[in-house]
Amino acid sequence: MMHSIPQVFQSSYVNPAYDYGSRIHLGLPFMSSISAHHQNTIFNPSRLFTVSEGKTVLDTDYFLTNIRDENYLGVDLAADVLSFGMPIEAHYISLAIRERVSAQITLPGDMLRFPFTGNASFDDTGNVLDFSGLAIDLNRYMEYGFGWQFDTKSGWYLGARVKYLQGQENITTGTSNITWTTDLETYTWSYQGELDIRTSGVSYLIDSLSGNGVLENGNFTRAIFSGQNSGYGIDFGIGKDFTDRFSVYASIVDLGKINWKKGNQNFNAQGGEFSFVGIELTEAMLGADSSFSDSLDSTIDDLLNSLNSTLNTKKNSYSYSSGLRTRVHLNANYKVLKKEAMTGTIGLVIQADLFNGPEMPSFTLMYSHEFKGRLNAALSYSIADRDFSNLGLALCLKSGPILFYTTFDNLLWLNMTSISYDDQKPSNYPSYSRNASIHLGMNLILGKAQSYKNTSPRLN
Amino acid sequence: MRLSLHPVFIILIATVLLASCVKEELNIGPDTTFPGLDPAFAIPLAHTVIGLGELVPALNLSNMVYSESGQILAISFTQRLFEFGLEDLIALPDQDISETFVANLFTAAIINSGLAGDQIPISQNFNLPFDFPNGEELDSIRFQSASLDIHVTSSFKHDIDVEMLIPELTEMGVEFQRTLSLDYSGNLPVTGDFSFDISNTKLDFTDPGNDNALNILANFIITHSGEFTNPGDSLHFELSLSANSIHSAYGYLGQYNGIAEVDTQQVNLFEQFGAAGLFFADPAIELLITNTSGIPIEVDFTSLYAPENSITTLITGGALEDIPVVQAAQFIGDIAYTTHRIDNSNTSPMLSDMLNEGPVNLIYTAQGLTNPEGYAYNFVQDTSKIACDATVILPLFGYIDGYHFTDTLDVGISSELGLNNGGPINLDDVELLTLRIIADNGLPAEARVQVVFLDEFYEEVDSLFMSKAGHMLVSPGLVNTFLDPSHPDFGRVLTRSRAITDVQLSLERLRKLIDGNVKHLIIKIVAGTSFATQNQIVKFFPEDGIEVQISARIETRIDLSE
Repeated sequence: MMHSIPQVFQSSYVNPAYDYGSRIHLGLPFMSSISAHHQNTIFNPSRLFTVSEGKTVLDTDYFLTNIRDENYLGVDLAADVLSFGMPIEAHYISLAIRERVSAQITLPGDMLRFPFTGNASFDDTGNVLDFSGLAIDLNRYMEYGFGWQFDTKSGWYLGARVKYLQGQENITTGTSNITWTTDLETYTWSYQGELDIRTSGVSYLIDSLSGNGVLENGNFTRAIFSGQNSGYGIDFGIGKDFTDRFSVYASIVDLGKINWKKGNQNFNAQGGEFSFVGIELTEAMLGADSSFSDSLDSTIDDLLNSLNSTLNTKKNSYSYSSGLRTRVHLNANYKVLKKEAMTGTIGLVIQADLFNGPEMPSFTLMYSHEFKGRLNAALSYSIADRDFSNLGLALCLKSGPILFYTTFDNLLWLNMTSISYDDQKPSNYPSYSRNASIHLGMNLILGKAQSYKNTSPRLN
Repeated sequence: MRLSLHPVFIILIATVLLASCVKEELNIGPDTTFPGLDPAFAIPLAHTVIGLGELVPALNLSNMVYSESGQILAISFTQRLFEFGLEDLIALPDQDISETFVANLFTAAIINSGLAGDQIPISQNFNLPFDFPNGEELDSIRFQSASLDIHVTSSFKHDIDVEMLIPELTEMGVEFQRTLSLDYSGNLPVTGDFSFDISNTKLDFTDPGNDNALNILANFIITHSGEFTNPGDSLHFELSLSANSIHSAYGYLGQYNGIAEVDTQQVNLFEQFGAAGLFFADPAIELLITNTSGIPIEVDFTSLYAPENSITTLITGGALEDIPVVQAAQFIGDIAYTTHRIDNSNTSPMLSDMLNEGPVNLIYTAQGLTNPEGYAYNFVQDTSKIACDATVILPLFGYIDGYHFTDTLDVGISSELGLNNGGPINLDDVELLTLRIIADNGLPAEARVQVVFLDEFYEEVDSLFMSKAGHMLVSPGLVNTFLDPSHPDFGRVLTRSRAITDVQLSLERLRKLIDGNVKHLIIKIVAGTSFATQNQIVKFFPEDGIEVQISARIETRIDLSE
């Protein structure tokens, strides 16, 4: 929805080519931009549960039929520590320091189906449970972005943001293709595949958060502010006014990576194939004087050691790099209402997140209504992640030097389900949406708006 | 600007209200139902490879089986048949010898020429050969416990002191020398008995020309009593050398054939094996004779006797008598080994005929002859042994029928199946439990398997297979009978055979097992080689075995509210 309010400085986070005016922008620490995005492709309580005769009933058919090969639970958070922007002639340069966190758990479909099928519903699931894609990913970093935006005389808009990144914590799941095969005849289990998990800085964070040493040893502060893992990122944007009513924009943002070098702990189990045919009944276990439970424990230890050996589990602290959550945006706008006091714009936005590989993009149709540059309100409808119930809203209000804005991609998130377990205090959780984003903040806009477009410097 | 009245704001507000006005309440708790939560689990419970090596401890045959990969597995048991020591190998009989000194006319005249109180010396040498029964030609003997007894009778009417020196008898390197005193008191004859402990002394016959004889140098000192000496007066010695035990002996110890041994070896294998029919195609008895003495010996078994047998009770001749000469040790501390194998090829009737009747006892009769090839330089010490160990080797090459054994396994049935209280699945969730037993039989024997469930008091709760006919039958591996019987691979398993048996345990039956507090399993196996009744011969190798896997398929219907 940030596409619907391009006059807000933070819209440059989705397309740095957006022209956000000729005034000086000042973003106050932790006030100018706070955004959150939540993704939940499977556990939507209102769709999963029904209430029948006073009892909560799981809609198993719905659950099972909507499980995908890979299912996501994730959250992206970002907050501006500081942002500043000013026009210099036909250019607009800016600086934005942001704290960004993204986390995602990927659950393979077979893992979610397992409680309902087990491993022996051979007619339904075959004999191979595929846990490929099981992953946990976490990325927290500070972003120092230097932005540039330029309007050409011929109606082109160009923009870019070069970002220096300072990594704090990271968990990256690399190769993950574990499969569990149950032999149809003997029920022997065999495991194949590779699991590669790389972490950085996590132990520092855990150490700082445990015990009483948080404030004493400075670990917490160090964990928050002193990432020693550097990286680079870049955003590109371009736009074109084809007519005075029709324009098209495109951008790719968060293209880059962070090199993780400090505090790394990597775990790799690769190339193994391990079979389990049952607890080995050895002579020692069968012996009259032996304790079966002791022998069983010993056998299980041996089994785990064997598993560890077979899977060639290794730990290391090698450096590695992780990519950013790269996204591409394409939007076209048409001003259906163009008056002096107000404008009305219809837009179509196509967005795609490339982090989980090529996926079906989301489509958003929106209408934005602007009143004399003081108020901008927008409504949107999106089809995202095979979900058709996404109704969004954006609001931007300028009063004096203060510009307040908020966007909400999915109002259905406001529809909460109160979940209580037994007699515990109930918790609220959005009933429907798979994807929802909220972005709000308050900027200071200084200076006087001038007519500069394509001809003269924006600020004299 | 009148923002509040603009239709856009009305739409916005309406949208927000519409989207957020609904609030559902879900109570996820014990009453929540999860229809379709009926997973089925296939679990490999246990796996074992019962190789023939693993059967050994179960049969209490740990000391009875030797196995070597590639070689036929064999049951063996060893017993010491006989053990000869020094006492058996050399016999030194008591040596009783006598000598007499008689005064002739001249000697009597010399004595009579003296006055009372005069001392007349007379020297005499006596050569006394040892009497050995077996032609012994000894160099030396060191006594451990021995005595020399001398009885002297004198018809001289004088006191006589006899200084006796035996150079062949040394004590700590010093020649044996003693003085015998006879006192004349007016009565004749004058007698004296003298006994000397010659333990730890050495008889040395190594002087050239000494042919196992004692040289006694006797110096008589006659103290004249004043009475007359007649020609013919005499001094008579009777010496008796008695050796209770010998420490060592060197030289030729002669040919001694008084070695005989009768011993019984218990063959309790057949009782332990518990087989109704048992046939060993190629049994053998391997003799290992060790000799730490320097005496070669010839050992013959005159007979091998199986008293409990009904058909073949006695084997004689052949390999029993063709045992090579047991070589002598070359030096003290050396051990000489001699081996000999008795099997079907050198026995008549054949050894297998005797063993396959399942004898309980085997009685050996053995005899031996030292130095069978004549003169040899021997040595023997009190620690020297000639010992014979007989190892009966029964290669598992043959047939067996009705072999049975049982083993007990301690288990907790509920924990094994993951049905403990507090676990994700409890007994009420189980709809059907199917135990699947997969047996890959690499043995040349078919087996019937039964599993019996026992409670903590070893009382039977249930059996896996409800009837005898329903026992799991595991076919033998495919046996190679296409080769000549003399071929090493004849009778060997070519390919394993697989048997899969499913046993469905209903909830009621499973509850019976769990409520019955099953703590032990007894695995009963009855095995037999294929076509045993037709005497089909197969071979058992150490690497042969039966691989058994027990798996379970649990079909559940989980109700989380319970």
